[in-house]
Amino acid sequence: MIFAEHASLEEKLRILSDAAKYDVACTSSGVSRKGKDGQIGNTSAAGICHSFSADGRCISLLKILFTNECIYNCKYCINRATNDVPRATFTPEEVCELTMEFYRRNYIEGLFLSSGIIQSADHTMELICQTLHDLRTIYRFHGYIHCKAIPGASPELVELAGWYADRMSVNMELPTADGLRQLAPNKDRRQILTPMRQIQSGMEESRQALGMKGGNRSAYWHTSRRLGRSMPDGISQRAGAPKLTGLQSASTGAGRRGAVSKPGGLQEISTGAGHSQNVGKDIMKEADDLYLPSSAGTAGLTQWRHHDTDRGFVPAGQSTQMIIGAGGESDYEIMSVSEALYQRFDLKRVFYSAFINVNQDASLPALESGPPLRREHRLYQADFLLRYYGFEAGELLSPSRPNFNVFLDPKCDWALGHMESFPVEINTADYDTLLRVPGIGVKSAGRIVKARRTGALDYSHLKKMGVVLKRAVYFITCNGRMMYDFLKVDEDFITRRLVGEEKELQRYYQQSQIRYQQLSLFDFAVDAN
Amino acid sequence: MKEMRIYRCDDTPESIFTAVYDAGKSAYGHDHIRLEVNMPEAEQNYTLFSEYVDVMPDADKMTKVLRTVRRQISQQAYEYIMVAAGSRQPDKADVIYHFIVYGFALGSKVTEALHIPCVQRMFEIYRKARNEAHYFLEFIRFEEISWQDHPVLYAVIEPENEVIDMVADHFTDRLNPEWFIVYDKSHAKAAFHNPGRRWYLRKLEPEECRALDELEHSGGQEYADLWKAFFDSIAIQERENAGLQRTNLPLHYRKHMTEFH
Ligand code: SF4
Repeated sequence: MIFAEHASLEEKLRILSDAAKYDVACTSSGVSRKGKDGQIGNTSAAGICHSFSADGRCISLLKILFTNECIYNCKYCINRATNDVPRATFTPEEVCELTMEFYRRNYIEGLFLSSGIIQSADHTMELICQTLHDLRTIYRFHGYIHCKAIPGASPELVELAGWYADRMSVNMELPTADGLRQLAPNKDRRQILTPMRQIQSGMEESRQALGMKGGNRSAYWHTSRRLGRSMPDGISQRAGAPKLTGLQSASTGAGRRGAVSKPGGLQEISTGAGHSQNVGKDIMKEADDLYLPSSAGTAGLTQWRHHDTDRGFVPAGQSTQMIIGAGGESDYEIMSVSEALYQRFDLKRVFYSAFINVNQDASLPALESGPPLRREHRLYQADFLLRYYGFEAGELLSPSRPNFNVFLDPKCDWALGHMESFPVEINTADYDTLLRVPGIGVKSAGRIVKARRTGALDYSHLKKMGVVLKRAVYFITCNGRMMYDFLKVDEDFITRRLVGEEKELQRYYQQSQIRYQQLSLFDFAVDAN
Repeated sequence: MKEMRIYRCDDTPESIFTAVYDAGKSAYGHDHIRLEVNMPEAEQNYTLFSEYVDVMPDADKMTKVLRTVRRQISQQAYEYIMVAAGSRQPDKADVIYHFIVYGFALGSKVTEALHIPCVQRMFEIYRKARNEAHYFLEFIRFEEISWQDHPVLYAVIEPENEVIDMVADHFTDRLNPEWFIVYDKSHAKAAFHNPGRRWYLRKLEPEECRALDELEHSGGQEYADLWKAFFDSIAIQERENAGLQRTNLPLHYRKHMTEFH
């Protein structure tokens, strides 16, 4: 093993950012905080990107590991104990200096600190806490901090970090408990879910005592509220097992009720979702596994007295990440797990990371054609549909059709299966009905609803409002008129048209060698409209 | 057919809003009025059968227009027209005028009436200018230089629109204890910030611009080099995608960015 102990700061930075780059979460969003006299930094609710690396991904935070030494041996990870790679460890001062000096020059929006496990989970978490403490209190940093909770670290340390951080994350790593057992033999689901639950209830407690502190609720939370569904928050979770079961059985039904009661022709949604009740047992088990006994991780916040409560506890919320395509899981399993995480753990974001076989490990998929970016893209689109559009996993996929269509985005795919709900009249349909039209996104639906108050809208207006007409035309009327009178709107015809559009794209990728050009959109760029 | 009347103004807020005032007061009929700004981007094609009026800038007239917009339309509409007035769009004066006319008829709803062409155009102009300002919050790079014996953070920008207000406000809140200078090379202006105070703006003389030009790259390279090292190693090779990078970070913003030097 190569130790780069006496490495220069630059060498360490290279090693420890290289080792952190597979973590896809790089957003600085979720909390808006003004600057403070004598301190450096503020935060913006939408987050701010500062550069784009050669892979086209946004750079917002100084994303580094504290150390890439690790006592664990997760098969998919470049830093696993048995790998022969250069190792390095920062000191807390080094991390603080880098963060401050980069921040002053507007290179970054803040720090994203993760780590390999050095000595023990607690020792690692202590080092992270030490760094965050120094950054906030000695260096007087008031900008954005995202840090990892190390699975297996004691609750006191997890809480401590939460008082300094804006966002925390515990990575799910693999979508299924089985996958985790096989690929990350030193971790188990419980170790991951326990801190997640602890952070969730800490946040809730902090919100009740201190207010939002500039933090915002998740898109999923807002969408649930708009649709009158049960809200993901800490309180309903802590009320004990009976309530949890209630919530669970509602989770397949609630959305359908919401949608069915909508005027405007979306009545038939229930047929799609119905599948999940018949055959879904095994797969839904994955989502069901995401329950913890109500006692786990809910001891409450204990360190109020020792901290500046000015920022609140984890005000920007928590996120997680799953590796896609390393185990054998289906898209349906993945989306069910995401949905459960949004609903039961009140997560802000679930990130998906196309598996890259960095270790050339024979027990893992070889993926000749590169990482499964297209699949990752579909998952991001579907995730968007859950969080902003009010779709449920069970509407988009089912056990009998467990994977997304390669040729069609999930929303078009859904709409084609529900032609009886269309066309929708632009001038009268309600917001949630508009949202379900392919080619109409969150922004354009909002603009339509506002603009039509001052006059009837026609096709010529829609384009300027950001509606993607070449997709939407098959599903809408304006003042009772379809765009092409002669158009015989049936499923086959539209499918051919829509697939044609995407095939163009595919041809383009194959020719240009730059595979998946527009598909590796991240975070900011992903919109499933 | 009634002749068009064309109000010609200079590219300053005062001149533009005076034109709006004069045109509105004339009662000539909105459909027959056009406003033209004298700027390099505008095509100066003299139209026959049109009457030309050259506007004399008047600060009072501007104040009256702006006050009325705030009172009778909305704060949002006010922001739209101010941002539009600072933009580089050659049709801006005409759009502002007709937008205000609709605004008086529709009240605060005008900013949502996107089916009206001039409102749509206003929205476009506004969005473009705001987007540019936002780009600079992201991509502006400071270096630490020595200025009159102080360590000062110094940045150069070359924006198309007037963005310096938004940029300086942003960093005044963010870098509260720092000295900083943001130099807008395209408009020969600079914003100066002293620790814990508000920032102030200076119009610059040509020799001042030259002095500021020379300061670029005069600071220490240590952190710039560390940043470049980070920038290189954070990219995932298997996902390399120059096209996407260019879409997200257009080439012309890279001119003053540390990591592209
Ligand atoms: S715990 Fe597993 S995933 Fe994390 S650094 Fe160690 S080997 Fe890698």
